Amino acid sequence: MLTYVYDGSLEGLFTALYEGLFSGEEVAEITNNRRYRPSLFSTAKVIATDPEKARKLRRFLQKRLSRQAFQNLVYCYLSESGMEKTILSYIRLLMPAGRKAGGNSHARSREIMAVLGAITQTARKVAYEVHRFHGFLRFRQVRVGTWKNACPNTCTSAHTPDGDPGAEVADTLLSSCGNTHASIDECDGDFYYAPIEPDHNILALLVPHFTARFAGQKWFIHDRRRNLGAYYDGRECRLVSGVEISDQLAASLQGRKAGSEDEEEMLCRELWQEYFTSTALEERKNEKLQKQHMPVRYWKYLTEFE
Amino acid sequence: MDLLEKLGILASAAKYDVSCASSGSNRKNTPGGLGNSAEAAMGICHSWSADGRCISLLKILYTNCCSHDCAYCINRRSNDLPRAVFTPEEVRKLTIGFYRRNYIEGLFLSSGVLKTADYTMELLLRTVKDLRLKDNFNGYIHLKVIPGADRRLVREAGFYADRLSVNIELPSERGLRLLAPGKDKEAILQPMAYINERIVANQEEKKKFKRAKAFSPAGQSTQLIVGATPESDLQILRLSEGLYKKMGLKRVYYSAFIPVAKNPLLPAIDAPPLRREHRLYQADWLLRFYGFSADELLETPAPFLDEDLDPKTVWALRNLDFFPVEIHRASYRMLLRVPGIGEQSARRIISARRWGTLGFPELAKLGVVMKRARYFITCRGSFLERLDNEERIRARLLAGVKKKESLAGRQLPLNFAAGLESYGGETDADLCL
Ligand code: SF4
Repeated sequence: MLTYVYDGSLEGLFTALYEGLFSGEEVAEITNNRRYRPSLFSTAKVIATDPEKARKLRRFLQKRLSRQAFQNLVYCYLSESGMEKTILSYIRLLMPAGRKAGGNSHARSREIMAVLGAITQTARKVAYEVHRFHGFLRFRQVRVGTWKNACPNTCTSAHTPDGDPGAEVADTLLSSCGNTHASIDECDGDFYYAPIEPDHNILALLVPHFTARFAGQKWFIHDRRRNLGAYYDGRECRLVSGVEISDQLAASLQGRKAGSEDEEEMLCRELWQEYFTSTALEERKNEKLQKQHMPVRYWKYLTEFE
Repeated sequence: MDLLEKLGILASAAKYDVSCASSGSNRKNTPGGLGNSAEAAMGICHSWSADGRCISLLKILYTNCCSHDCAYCINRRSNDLPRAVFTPEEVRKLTIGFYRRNYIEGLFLSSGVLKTADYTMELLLRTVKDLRLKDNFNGYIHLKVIPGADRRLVREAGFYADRLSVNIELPSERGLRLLAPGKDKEAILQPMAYINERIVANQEEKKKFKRAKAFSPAGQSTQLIVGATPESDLQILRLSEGLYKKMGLKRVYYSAFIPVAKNPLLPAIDAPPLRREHRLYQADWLLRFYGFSADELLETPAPFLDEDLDPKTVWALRNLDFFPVEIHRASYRMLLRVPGIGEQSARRIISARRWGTLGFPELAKLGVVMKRARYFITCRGSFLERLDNEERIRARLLAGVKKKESLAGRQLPLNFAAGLESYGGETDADLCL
């Protein structure tokens, strides 16, 4: 059994898919190098990321697929839930050979339904989490600290709010060089900082909404689980990796008082907590329903539960 | 009194208002401005309070001082409780501070009547006007219209708010006369009709001149209290139907009466009729999206909704001759009438059946709730389960409901108000897309 191991980037995945389609090898599994666990029964083949192959595959997919379907594939990649092999099966079904094979038998239509179902379902989960984070993300105003971009290349996340989200995210992910580093440690004016720990890798998907909404303020969204960041400086947004935050900020995230916040920020948080408590109807208390809508795993950074 | 204390009082005073929708406006951000309004059909919820209601807007009263004495309202003049009044600057500060931190989608501003209707309306208007013009705020604003306020003020408010609403408060004129002595039907219906007129005229203008300023672009809504007066569900649903059809309302909200006062005019109950409220929301959903009419759902001899089964299932049981519905041939409208099939699953059935034959397992995958649908559909002529007797189907469905309730414990996860974004679990499988 053959397992393809790619480097975890979208470009890497596209390369692996390209190989899977055209090398003639029987691929049992595709996985990224973080998830890969060697096993007795499988042989690993490391796929070196090849921008040319990745580009070709992307062009093929965008020609063949509707916008929605292409977006679903990108979302499946971002779900980080081991969908790579399913994506490969899906693309096979699109290929001319795949279309002819088996004609229109019942078994085949079941298979199509199963692959399609898995893809849509996963994509929907990712989209749902994006929707949730449009609401659950909380900014805090930070006075001390700025970020430095230590990467020599410029990695911009170009975006147009009205554009094609799947293609846009693919653009963003394919163009970032992957070796950017940001650290939030030096004082340089204030900005709004939001820590998140989503289940899926949705940071890039959050950018369009927050860029449109908070175009006039500087903000930094920090995926602390993956250590990725999206920094918006008031004009454009960049995706960065390897984010470091100052000790002060880290302390304040853990609920300890730190010098990095001023009174206005503290007052605003207190006001929100007051509002949150005052708006609940005692007579209709229903914490089960509350948790159903807002699972406890998302509570960590919610100001109202601090 | 500091801002924190005021906020406590005035948020508490506003919490009985149930509406919290924040979608449908499509207000874009402006250069140098702050915020926009959700374009998504589905509004954004930022949090859920301990009662399980979605928090999307900063919902406050401008003041809880009131010159009226409505029996069902905690803010009535004769009630002894701490009172507070915001200033426009305070409301702006709260709104902007919360919005920038992504706590909220916008502001929901209502008020008790301070001095006169016009005086209060002026203050509300000034607040939202300053938010738009001085703070460049483009987030969502829902503004309550004070019954009896001058038209000129209502008209101006419509240009700054995304949604206007006038509370109808009680489902009948008699109820109003009895419990809300300061208000009358005309004071409520007139501004409603006027707002509708303006909205319609504005839509015409917008067709001609793209740049015409939007008037209450997310439409108008209203709310009424259920269970404080003796009206039946049929009366209430007929009223809602009329409001949707004749007044062009976007939404009617129902609020289970919470016994906030002891008064011989009010019914003596210990708990708000939540289940009744929940069934009304479901029935309302059927009116707006499923092509049902109030008189189909209820008939005069039994004018209240069934507490144990949802209104669509009850309708289906009364109309068994309409069934079974054949999945491969039925039109969209017919599919919608099947218990357990929602808008999403009906659409999915229609597109999936083009590809081949659907079996019962496939239907479940498409999001059909089989435990309800099974008695009402056929797939290529065959039943999953045939029970063509109303009583037997009913008994079976009830057994299912009871089992679920005993598993869930006493606390029913009832969705309500804007929380109810689907009809009784029929689109559960759809999540959000
Ligand atoms: S006018 Fe409004 S705030 Fe005043 S008592 Fe009546 S319902 Fe309450």
